[in-house]
Amino acid sequence: MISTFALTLALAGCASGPDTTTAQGQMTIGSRAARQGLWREAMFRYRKAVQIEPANAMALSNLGVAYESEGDFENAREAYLKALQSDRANPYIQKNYSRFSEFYQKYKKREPKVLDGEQGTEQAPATETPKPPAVPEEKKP
Amino acid sequence: MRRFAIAAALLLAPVPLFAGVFEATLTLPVRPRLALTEGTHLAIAPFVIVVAAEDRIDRASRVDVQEEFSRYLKKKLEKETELEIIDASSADLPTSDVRELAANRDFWKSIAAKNGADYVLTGAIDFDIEDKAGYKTEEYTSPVDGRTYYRQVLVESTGFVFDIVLAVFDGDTGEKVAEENFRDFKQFDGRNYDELMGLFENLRSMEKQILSIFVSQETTSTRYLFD
Repeated sequence: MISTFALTLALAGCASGPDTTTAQGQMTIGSRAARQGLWREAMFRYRKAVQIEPANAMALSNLGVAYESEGDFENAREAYLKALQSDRANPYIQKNYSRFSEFYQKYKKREPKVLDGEQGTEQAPATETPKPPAVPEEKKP
Repeated sequence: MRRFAIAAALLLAPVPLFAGVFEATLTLPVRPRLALTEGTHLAIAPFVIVVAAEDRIDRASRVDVQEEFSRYLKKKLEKETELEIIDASSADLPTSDVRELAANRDFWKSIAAKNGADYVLTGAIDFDIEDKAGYKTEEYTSPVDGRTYYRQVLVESTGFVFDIVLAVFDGDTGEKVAEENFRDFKQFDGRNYDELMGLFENLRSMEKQILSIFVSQETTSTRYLFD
């Protein structure tokens, strides 16, 4: 809380700070927050960046990372896929998506069997298993 | 096939960091394999030892893997989970054939009933020690003439392999509800490294994996962010 406040103050006090009307400006503030582990603030800024430039691959990828850090994996997947659709050739985005996919597949595989100790009965998991992430079509040269 | 090879190479290749890109470390959850409710009674039954101590002629025969592992497991599960752990390691297994044992539902039901357990934890363990010695070529700069020579150096090491299959059986039905296989290899300089120390080094490495059957764990992973 104090760190968020300090960051806000620091940014407000900085006369030549990032231009918050541009996607780049929002991303800069978001990444400063992410560096300090303030992921909610970072997510807010990356969302703003995406609102300003919906096809900005870097902002979308950053947003994916922020969602992931907050445990919102479905939205993270969506953001990564949109980032890849916008810039298929970016190696950082490719790497982020492959790392995320690897983690998420394992995570989904471990959909826990909810077992009740007293009854010994197996209950259905609360959510249904979503389909594995679809890789966007490769652009032909 | 070629496309697959290119994709695999892309995934494996390290990406150099350019200006405006930095790496962030995320802490991500690892779900438990079984979500057992608090207070569930879990009995630790004996494990099948793949090569029994009496059949061994190496140093691994000096370690009572059954006893050491059961004790370790009980201590860890009591500390890290909310389960009620029951020691049922003194029970006699009807067979040492892992498949036959897994199919013997009545046996698991009887173990559970005798110990008042909801679930039974068991499995198979293979612990191996490999003392190795060999020659390695090493660069050597002579203090006399300052020239570089190559010389053969004797290298000795001890390797510890711990391979385990953990299985959980439902006490009411005798049915297997989870099975996980873990393997760890550790190598230490010098021959005759203490076998018990080696065993515990293996167990320490696998601790998170073993516990992840019953409780959530965390893992870290890096992602790239753009400034």
